[in-house]
Amino acid sequence: MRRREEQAMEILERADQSLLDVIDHVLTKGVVVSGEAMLGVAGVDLVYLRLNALLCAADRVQPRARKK
Amino acid sequence: MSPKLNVYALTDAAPAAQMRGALGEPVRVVRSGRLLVLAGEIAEAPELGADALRAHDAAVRRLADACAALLPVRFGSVATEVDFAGREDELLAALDLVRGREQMTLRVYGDAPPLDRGSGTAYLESLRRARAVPQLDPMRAAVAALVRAERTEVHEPPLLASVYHLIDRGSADEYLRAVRDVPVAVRVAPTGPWPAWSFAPEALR
Repeated sequence: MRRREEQAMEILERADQSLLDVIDHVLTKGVVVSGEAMLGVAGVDLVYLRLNALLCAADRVQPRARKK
Repeated sequence: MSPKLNVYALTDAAPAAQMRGALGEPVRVVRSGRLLVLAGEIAEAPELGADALRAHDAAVRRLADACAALLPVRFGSVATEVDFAGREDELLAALDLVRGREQMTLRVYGDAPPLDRGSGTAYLESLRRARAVPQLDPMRAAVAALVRAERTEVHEPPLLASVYHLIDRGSADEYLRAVRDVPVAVRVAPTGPWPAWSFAPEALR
């Protein structure tokens, strides 16, 4: 289990802006299924915590040419 | 033992064609009260990874293309049964809001405006103003005719906020052209169109 969580975090650390955008939408938005649901995916909680910090840091790795 | 369902989305009218999920599996339409749940039958929960996340995104996009009204369900929602009792009215209202529409996302980068610390009231008022991201107002004016709903999520600088706009399907190009040429005091990175991820009732809670 621990190894899977580490893998999930590695993917996040290596993600480019387009993947960060996908992660932010599909992992932290959308309807939450409750009741009998099993959120059975290892590492989701960790990724959720780390994602916001990475999104906020994305400015530093984006090309400055896009600045208006 | 009931089969495991990997849930992709909610809708109120089943897609006309047989759709495929993130793993290529057939998407089942499961009724839950007045809602229809679009889900794939799977053996095991997907492992969290870039490919799995992109595949979930792609499956939801295919379903959104096939349904006039669709609320995406977040990745990792694996269930043996789904029950939306007590939330149906809220979810049906959200489906009506997103019907025929799609989402654009604006990432807003810049420095946080200074907060007024003169008094408690002034501080709260300046905080409220900052949370509305007023630097974006010229851009909001430029797309006002296209935007049906807005949600805003405040972050930490340098990412000040994410602003989500719901627009009619097919108007994304016009939206992107409109935001491109507006001079604002912050840097704005638009993406989209997306399915209406940020307009699920609990998306920004």
